[in-house]
Amino acid sequence: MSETAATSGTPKLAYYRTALQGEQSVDTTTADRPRFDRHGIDEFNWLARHDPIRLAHLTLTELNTDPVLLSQAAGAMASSAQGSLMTNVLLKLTQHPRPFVREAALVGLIPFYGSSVDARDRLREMASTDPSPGVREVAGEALLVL
Amino acid sequence: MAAFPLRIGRSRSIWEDGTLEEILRLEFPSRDGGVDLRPSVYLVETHEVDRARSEHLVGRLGPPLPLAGVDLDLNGFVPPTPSRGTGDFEFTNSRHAELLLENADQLRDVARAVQAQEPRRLGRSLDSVMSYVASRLAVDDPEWVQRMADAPKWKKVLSKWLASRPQVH
Repeated sequence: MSETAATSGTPKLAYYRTALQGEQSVDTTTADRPRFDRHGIDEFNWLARHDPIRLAHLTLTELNTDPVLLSQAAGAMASSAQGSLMTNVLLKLTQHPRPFVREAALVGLIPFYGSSVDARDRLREMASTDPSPGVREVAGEALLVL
Repeated sequence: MAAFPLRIGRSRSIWEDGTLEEILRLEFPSRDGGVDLRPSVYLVETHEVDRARSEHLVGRLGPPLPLAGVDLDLNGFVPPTPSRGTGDFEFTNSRHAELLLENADQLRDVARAVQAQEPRRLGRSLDSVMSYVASRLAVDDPEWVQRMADAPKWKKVLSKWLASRPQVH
């Protein structure tokens, strides 16, 4: 995904990007933040619970060129209490060109479909029109149980 | 019938266009950002696949992870080393094992074989998991009764899945 594609988007997302710019040092000032030598599942899970703004920022910037890390970050977002922020980032990831990133995003959105009309609309769209058979299947199953 | 090592998969669509390195990192991740050289498997026979995947997914994880993933037949690589599990179900705890690999190239060989050999990829569906869960609750299986009592989100998913099924008259 290009930088342009990753950083353009809805007005809501633009709002969050603006908000994130002032929050970049949040994690580094947290005394009990664990040390992570490289990006991975443990880091994303910790950030989802303790510093979701940092997780959103990472996803929109540093992780942008690594679809596997984007997928793992998307999975971790499901455990965040910051539903509105996570929903906007995950909706962006549902537009990613790689199917497994879109799949991870729609799965990460599951806790948030109940509170987001935009997310539910996007899920229905993916279930019917996503170019990936696997993504359509997973989206269709999610529609069954939401 | 011989038991084989069943790996519970993470993504369905990774098999559509994932590169070998992406498959390696997404399907066999270590939690610190590398790859797992001790991937967990369950030693099961073919007719026990739904039981193992249901106990693993519903027993350990919140919804909706069963929606995603393709499970993997990892037979014919390093012999699995039994390693008792710590989940909610005796069957999967007793069948848990690890493939003790020496290096990433060995794991790469595993991923390459699964990528090239479609029969190693065992389709998983919400129906297969929920059907198994419903069948155990129908006979008051104590492990499943306890698990569902502890997991209201899963009870909700099961209810919705049952409601979505065609009515039989």
